[in-house]
Amino acid sequence: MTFWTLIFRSLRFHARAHLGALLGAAVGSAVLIGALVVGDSVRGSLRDMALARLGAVQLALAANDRFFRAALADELAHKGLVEGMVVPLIALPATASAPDDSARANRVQLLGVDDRFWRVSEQPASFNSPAVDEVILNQPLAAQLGAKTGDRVVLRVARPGRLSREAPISPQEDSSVSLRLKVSAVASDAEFGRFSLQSSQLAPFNAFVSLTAIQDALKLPGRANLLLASTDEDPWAAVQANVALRQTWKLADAELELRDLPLVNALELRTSRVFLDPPVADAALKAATNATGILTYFVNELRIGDRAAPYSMVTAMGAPVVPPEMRDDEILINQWLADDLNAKPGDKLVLSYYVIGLSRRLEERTHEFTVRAVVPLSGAAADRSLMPEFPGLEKAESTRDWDPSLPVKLERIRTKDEDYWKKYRGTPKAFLTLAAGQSLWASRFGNLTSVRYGFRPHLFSGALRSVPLLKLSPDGTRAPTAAPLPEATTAAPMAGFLKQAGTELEKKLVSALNPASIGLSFEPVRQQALAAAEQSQDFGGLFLGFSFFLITAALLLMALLFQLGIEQRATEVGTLLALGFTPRQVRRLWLFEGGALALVGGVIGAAGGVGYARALLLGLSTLWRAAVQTSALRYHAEAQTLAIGAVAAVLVAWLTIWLALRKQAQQPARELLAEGAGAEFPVSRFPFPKKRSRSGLVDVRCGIVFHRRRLAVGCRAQRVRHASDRAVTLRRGHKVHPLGHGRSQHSATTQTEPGDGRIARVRQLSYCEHRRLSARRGQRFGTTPLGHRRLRAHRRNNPAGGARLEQQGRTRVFRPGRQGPDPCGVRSVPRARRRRCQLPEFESRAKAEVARSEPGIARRAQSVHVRESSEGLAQRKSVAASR
Amino acid sequence: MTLLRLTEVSKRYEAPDGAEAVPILRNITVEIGSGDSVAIIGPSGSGKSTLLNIIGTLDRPTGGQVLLDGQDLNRLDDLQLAALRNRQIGFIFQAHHLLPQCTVLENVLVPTLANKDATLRNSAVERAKRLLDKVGLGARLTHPPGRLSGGERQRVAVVRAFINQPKLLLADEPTGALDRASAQNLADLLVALNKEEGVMLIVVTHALELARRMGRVFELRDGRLVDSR
Repeated sequence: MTFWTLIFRSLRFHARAHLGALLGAAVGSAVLIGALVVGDSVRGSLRDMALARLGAVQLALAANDRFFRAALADELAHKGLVEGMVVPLIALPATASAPDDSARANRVQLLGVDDRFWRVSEQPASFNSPAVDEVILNQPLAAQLGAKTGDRVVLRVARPGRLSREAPISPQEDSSVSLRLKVSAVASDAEFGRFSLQSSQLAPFNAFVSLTAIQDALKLPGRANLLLASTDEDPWAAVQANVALRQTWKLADAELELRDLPLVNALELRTSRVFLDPPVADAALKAATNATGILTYFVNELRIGDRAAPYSMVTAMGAPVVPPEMRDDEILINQWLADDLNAKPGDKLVLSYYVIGLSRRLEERTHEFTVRAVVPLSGAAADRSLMPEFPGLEKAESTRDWDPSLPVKLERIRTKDEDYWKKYRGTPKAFLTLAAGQSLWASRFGNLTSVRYGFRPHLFSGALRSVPLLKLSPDGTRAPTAAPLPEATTAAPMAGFLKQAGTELEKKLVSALNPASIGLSFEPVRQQALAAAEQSQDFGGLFLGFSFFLITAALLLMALLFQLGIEQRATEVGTLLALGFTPRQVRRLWLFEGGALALVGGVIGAAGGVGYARALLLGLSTLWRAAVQTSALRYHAEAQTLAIGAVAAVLVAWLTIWLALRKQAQQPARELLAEGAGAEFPVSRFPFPKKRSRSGLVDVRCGIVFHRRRLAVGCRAQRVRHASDRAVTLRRGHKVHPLGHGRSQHSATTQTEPGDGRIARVRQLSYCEHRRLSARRGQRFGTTPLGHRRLRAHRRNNPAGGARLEQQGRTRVFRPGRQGPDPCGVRSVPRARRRRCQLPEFESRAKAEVARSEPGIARRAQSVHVRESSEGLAQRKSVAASR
Repeated sequence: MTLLRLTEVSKRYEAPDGAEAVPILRNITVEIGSGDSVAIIGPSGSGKSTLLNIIGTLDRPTGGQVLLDGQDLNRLDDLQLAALRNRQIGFIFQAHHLLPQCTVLENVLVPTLANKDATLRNSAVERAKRLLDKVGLGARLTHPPGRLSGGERQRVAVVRAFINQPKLLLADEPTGALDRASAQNLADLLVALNKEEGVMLIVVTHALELARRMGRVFELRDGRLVDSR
């Protein structure tokens, strides 16, 4: 026999009584664990979605509107700089429709892919990469278009401009390309159909086309704007890949070009994007001491007085054309313009040009300059390469072919303008200082259209020598060559020199420029996606919060029912205490008993929690779909979560039981044993208004009471054993207090122990007996419902008395002592004398009254009257006499 | 040899509303030797059980001194009293108060659980079986109390009271709930144990037949203990 045997036996014997508590513990545990599992499931589902859209892709380089060489992928992979596979793609937004336009999908992601793409999916695809005239749709897109294998669909994709669409001089013509392709397959989610770099719970619309086909269609041969890499799961993979990219990339990947300008003895860095990106311009200017920036802009008008030349190029630059001493409000014009405008030095020339204003609108502005000098249309001033590759202009043979995307009024172009274009193309007609040009035309796209590196011919006259000027200046400043370049030099050595210098300069530029600064950078997309899934809204915490009251209620119910079960075992406690157990040992027994219940409840709850979580997930995927924006929630539960949840639930349940048991086993053993012996009259500890309940039911009373000088909040539930016990709050051993002092109730009366006023016996009295005994004790007769019931019973049994009541019309509420003669013949107790209730003289008078009015009742009352010993009575009389 | 000495023991219950306290026991002085058997009789409410509770350390007297084996019970705290009850006093109640969830043997062994001495606990099993055998319940060790008759239950309660080899056995109306034959048997058992084990036996009873079999009979009258033999 051990403590554990006793606990086990108690658990088994009282299993039925413990069922409620067990249920409470199980519900609490189930709700708690369920909430945590929901959190796990949401996180797990988001993780699954992230992995489904990324396949085996670890890193991605998304250049968006910048198109680099697709060969970069091979270079990175073949050189072993990036482990695993590197895949080039073209990813562009598109729209898709059925050929008859019966179905349409916007926001389609058009992906130009080759075989390599399918190799970075988690599962091998069941289809071949699309041929030139084929397209593979993912399931959502196929469903949206109602397309199946073999059908034709039309994809429309905007042709990417070389300049951002926001730039004022990007072409405006309808630049979309339309592709009519045959659906060769429909890709499922597992076959990479869900591929996307965007973190979204909604499946994207994906259309996969051949990479070469889309390159040809967009006139971007050999180009791509997205690289995917499937490296090992290494936190440094992105860093390593970016280092590799820096070692591998070329100027062409940034859409830059370094070209020789033998005519002006210079190298020029320019871009097909018109404006050099600020980081590129910065690096280019710092790459060599002889670098000079050039900004050429398309102006609407050059006007002096009423004479104007439309649509011309104006260049802002330094040497060799613009002398260093020229002021920013001065302008040099070429001979052609001077002739056209009839201009001479000192004239005021007004420049009109477009800039991007607020809300990306084109605004025409003007600026006035003073003509400083007229330069001849020859030499450096006749350099048609000063015009950048303005889309729509640079290849136009005639001004009529212009498509400058600006609101150009072609009718303003005169014959002489046409002749100028044919003869000199975009040769600038005027020159500003670089500062003046940049103050007018700088935008977020850049403030230079090219950077030139000029060379002095004497450095390479005759044999080719080293290129001392191509050293970075120590402080990064540049010292532009002030002396004008000679008109002509020996062409052959110059060309050789420029070639070698160009090679060296490119190396310098590539190493000086960080590709990340122009958006060429690998991002650890998989790592980011998984981190985002982990850091998503914690639904576990959310549901735990929602379920807080449910958990609390379940645990309170558990503690309450357990406590109730324990209180039914008062005799057992009394016995244990009498046998020498300390109250602490008894409480420990219960605590372990309760702990076992909590443990079993926790384990049952873990199983229940899984079911609860599944039900919630079903709700989240259907009824509450809007809350999580997806229906793809799948059940995930980590063993760790279940274990933590179960342990937490058990601990919380145990703690609740401990709190409930703290005050138990405080009563003395003799009281507990007596309570067990005389348990016919259960008692409420709290003097609450009673609620009648049927025999066998649990009578639950809750409330806030001022109990023993302390404010107490509590509930007490107890089983009512007999119907007749319902509202009886008296029991053996209790002391009798007059009404108004708290305890006494009226449905039964008591026989007290001699002298000490404690109840020895409780018995039910008739209405009049009760009235009289109340009167004898000096108590006010209460008007509880039971009182009225007794009154009705009295009427039934005493037709005469009842009739008297009826005659007097008191059929509603009978209030003894207030409303005329008492049917029981009891005189009401004057309020002032109630305090003297226990004086023997009053008692004897009450007895006499009873004896006079109803001898039968008086006899019965005698039998329940306090039987005091003669000595006790004598003593009390003497006390009364002394008062 | 005097094992229990009550000196001027009195007990009063405070009355409500500040009225004068009600005396139950008045200056009771008595000496009882080890191995004595004593019956206390008196009308209901005369304070017999109160006196028994005071001797059994379940209640404390308002005045006077109780010495058990020379130890003043007034000076012991609740924990010490619990240990004393466990080791030196055996209780037999009118209602047997057996734990319904435990078997006969386990019920007998329950008092040993409060004891921290493992060797005593282990040796108690054999003793319990021997005692149960002696009271004729040797074949019913694994039965729950629910399957025993009233007399058998009371005999289990007697063995339980004996299990820790107490010096003092207190019985509060042990035969009160038994029929005549069972009461007779139990009385025989109590007397036999008193004689064989040499344990002091104090019986509170209304049954004069049982009282007569005790060595001394006291009557509690008006709170005073009167030797009625």
